[in-house]
Amino acid sequence: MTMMGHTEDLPRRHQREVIDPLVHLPSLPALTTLSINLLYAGQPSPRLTNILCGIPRTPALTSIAIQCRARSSVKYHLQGRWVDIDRWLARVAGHGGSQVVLSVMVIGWPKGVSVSEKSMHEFRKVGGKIKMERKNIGWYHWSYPQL
Amino acid sequence: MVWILRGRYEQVGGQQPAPQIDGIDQIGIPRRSSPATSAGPRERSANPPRPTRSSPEPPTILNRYDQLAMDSLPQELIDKIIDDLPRSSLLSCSLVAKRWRRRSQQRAFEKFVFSFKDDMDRWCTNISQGPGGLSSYVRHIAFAEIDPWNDPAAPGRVLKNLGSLKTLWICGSAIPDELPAQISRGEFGKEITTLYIDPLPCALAPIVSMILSLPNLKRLHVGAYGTKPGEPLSTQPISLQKGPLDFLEIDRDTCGLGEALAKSRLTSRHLSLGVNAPGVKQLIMRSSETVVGLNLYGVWFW
Repeated sequence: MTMMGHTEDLPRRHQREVIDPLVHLPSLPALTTLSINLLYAGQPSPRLTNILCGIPRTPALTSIAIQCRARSSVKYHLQGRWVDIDRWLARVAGHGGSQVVLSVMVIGWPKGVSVSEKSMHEFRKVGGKIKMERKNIGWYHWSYPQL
Repeated sequence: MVWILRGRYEQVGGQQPAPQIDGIDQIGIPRRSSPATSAGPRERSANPPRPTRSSPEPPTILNRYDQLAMDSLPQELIDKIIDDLPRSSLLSCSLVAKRWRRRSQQRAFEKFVFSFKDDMDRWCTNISQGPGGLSSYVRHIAFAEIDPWNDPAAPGRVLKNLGSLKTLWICGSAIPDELPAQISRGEFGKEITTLYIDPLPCALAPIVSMILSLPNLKRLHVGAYGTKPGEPLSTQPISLQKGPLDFLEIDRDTCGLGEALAKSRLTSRHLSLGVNAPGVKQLIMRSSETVVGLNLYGVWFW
């Protein structure tokens, strides 16, 4: 344990790549739903990884939704920084009192790319449930008020 | 509708009508006391006006039966009919009858988008006539792509009499310098619950001041925010305190609006944040006790 807190829990890859100074966020005791939307990105950016891995505990979290819309120039796999996200998910799911359901929707990924079986295995180990969904094309659900 | 169907049924020899209280029809709707409507349903069905080949009735005029039926419609049913009409029909609909006017005008004047200064001048001349009246029906106002503001006081004149305004949009327009000051002074905007700003580059401090001055603000959406070239990015923390918002979204913030709001102790139950915003972590930290839903999004280069 360091002065910053739970540094040894954070993924090494994350610690290598992030550019921002690592800021440890407080626990989010009331958080129940988390959604991550990635536009034209095959994997989360270092900044996003940094933010998520800085959240130590989310005891009330029950639902996580990841939408990942890719394009041809990105790598299609749930590896790389997804591994860091997987470890963080496993940590928050292991500390929570209820089962966490992760919904992953990949949009515009080639049909030959498998995203269901070998991904998020750390999260699966702690009892997390994963729902995979694939869409050929689609848009995010924006929440702007309609005039 | 029950009365209408029963009247039609009696016309072809149906059941006897139920006993009626004088002045009240069978479903409790007061009857009009005009001579044309003083007869009971039995008498009305005795000589229904029927169009003949020799004297065709103009199709645009309701016959006596239809007119009576329309007069007997419950107000709730009229409102439901009007709610399902397209907006393009509402102004014509408001001229049909007095009972149709209020709901039609409420829907017709519910939302307004001002794209030109002339629109605001016409509004102030013809519509905005003090509290009440048509201006009291306005719920949503947008100022879209107005740049530059030749008359910076114009939006204030428009907003002055809108006591029921719930949503204010400022999209693709600069925010006039006078507007945040007027809102901060409480001249208007007390009923606004939703603020959407996607403004042209403008100073940071007045926007933060405006946001924090809206006492009933529940939903705040910031599309893209940037300051004018040469504008100082830092701002002094504002000491105003608000209760938690229901929803706070900051999409693209490059100049510290999120940081400024976090410094001002603004919290929210739902956060939707583009991860490039400098104040993402501060906003999450500030709302750590209240946040129920968190949405993080970014494109590949964030």
